[in-house]
Amino acid sequence: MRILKPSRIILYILLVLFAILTVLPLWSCVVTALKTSKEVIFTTPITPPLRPTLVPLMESLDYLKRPLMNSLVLVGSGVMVSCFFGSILGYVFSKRRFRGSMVLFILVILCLYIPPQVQLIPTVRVASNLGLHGNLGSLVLLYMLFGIPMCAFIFKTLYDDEIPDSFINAAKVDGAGTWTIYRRIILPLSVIPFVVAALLQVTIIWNDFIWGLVLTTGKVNLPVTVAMANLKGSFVAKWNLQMAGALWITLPTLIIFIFLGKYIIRGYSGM
Amino acid sequence: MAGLTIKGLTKKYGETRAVENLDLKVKDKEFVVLVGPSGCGKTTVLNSIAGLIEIDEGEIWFGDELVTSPEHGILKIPQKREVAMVFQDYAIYPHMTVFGNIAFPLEIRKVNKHEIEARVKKTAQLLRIDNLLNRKPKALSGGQRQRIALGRAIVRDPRIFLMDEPLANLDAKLRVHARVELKKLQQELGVTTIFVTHDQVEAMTMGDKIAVMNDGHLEQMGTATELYHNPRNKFVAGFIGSPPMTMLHGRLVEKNGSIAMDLGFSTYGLSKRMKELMKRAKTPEVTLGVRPENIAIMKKRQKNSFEAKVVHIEPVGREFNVYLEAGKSPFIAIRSSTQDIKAGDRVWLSFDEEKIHIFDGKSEETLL
Repeated sequence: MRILKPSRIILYILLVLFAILTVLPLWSCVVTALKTSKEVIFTTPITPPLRPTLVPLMESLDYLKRPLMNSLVLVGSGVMVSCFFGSILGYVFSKRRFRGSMVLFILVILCLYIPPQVQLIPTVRVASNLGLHGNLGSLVLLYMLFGIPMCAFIFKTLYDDEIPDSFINAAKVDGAGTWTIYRRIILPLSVIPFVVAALLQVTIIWNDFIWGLVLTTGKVNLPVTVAMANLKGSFVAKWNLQMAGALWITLPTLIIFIFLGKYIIRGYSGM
Repeated sequence: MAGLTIKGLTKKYGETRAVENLDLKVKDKEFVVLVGPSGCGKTTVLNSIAGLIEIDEGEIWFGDELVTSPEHGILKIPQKREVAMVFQDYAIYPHMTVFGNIAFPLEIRKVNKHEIEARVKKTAQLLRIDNLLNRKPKALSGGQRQRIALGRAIVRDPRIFLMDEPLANLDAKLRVHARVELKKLQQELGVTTIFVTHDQVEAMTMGDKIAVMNDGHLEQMGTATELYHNPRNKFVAGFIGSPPMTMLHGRLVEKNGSIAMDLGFSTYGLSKRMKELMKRAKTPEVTLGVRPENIAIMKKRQKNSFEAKVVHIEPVGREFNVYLEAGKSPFIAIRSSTQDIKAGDRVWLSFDEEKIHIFDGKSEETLL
């Protein structure tokens, strides 16, 4: 048997500790969601349930049905539109450079660095001027637009790296115009950038809270994160219900991270 | 089909001039090779002809049609130029089959389906890739990919072929084979071809005419034989030929009424016909160039020879490259046998008087 060096052993102990710390909230969420209200009060948040029950999960799902659908609509429309425009912008910035296109690209990227807190009031005013404030339409439009800079960035860097300029030049010499090149050459070679950008947008839109909170009102319009916050109850904290709700919300992104996490890392690192 | 004329082409990238005032005339159906070291501007010239880049000055004519002229605000887009281009990396679309790749330019031109199929098949047969038509390019070898790229170029009967180092990514054996095939194909099709390479052997063997470029300038254009035997300047002389010409720097001196060259380590007598050289040379500083096959290696001292040391003998099969040193100057000679010499030997060298070249020390132009 190979003998481990003491430094290695210490490293492993530390890593295990960090892993436990990281998993602890999720563990607590799962066990609490499976407890009855009584058991929640009498046990610690990390002890496993003695008599597991599915009631909180069912109850919270019933409450979150509509908001879950809302969030699905937001994710679906936001991802499709921002990926489509992101891909076109990425193509232009990567393969159709023109005088000043680099400056324009930097301006687009700068949009990523404006904190949402700064944009809150102007956005709310624009939404109400358009007559969209309060309903889901405002959020649909917002996610479509706000996703574009991030998508443009992902598509540009991936096009820079993965599609050689000679493909474009060859197609030009062969007679293809800008749009034909996009449709026949760029788009079919964009599977990976589309996966990367879409996953990133799905997690961003799904997890977002602040825009849903300020732009929508009424249960029928709420995205799932905001609706979940309402599960907390007015007079007593129904921890099991909240945790069950949190579990439903975390599940889709958790699955994405487990199976497709490497694509998300590519998106963030721009590689 | 058309000839090609380039007048005064200048292209700048920022402050650096990639190509400066380049004139080039290519006759209809001619195979011209643009050759030069990396970064000499040859690909820039090719891209200018294709219309892929804008030039700063000059004119490009296809036959009697002016296609590029910044002065007159003319820049015909590449899509309308009817040129076909083969790229160094072949630019084969990985998501299309071989058929799809070759058919692509025809589909863009909205040629009808039956004709596309017939033309692609004919092209594939010509290039002997008809058994690969349904395959994806990913699984194909370098040689096969190169044929696909060629196929995509010839399928549409272009006016001019442009080729950017299409053989550079093939292995040595395949490259020799592809050279012959490509040349044969061009003769069959009779399409004006501009071929870019940095490999002078490729240039010599393939080009009807060879244009040697250096540092954005056209140094000389001519047939392989012309460039080899009558180089216009020191650069062309040194670039064309393998192993390269030996260059010796020295001074012209007059000795006892005859003319000689002081090489530092020895004085080499020149024949009488060199006398007029003295008048033409602006400075006495000159460079003497001699091709490897014109250096004689002797065991004994003879008239007008100097001593040298054999450094290394390189067998290349049919003959031997002999590396020598005299003073501090290196020499390369070719010999058919080396039984009488070995590395470390002292030998005597002399040059074939008729075959030496003399270049001006300053302008580097050929004096003789």
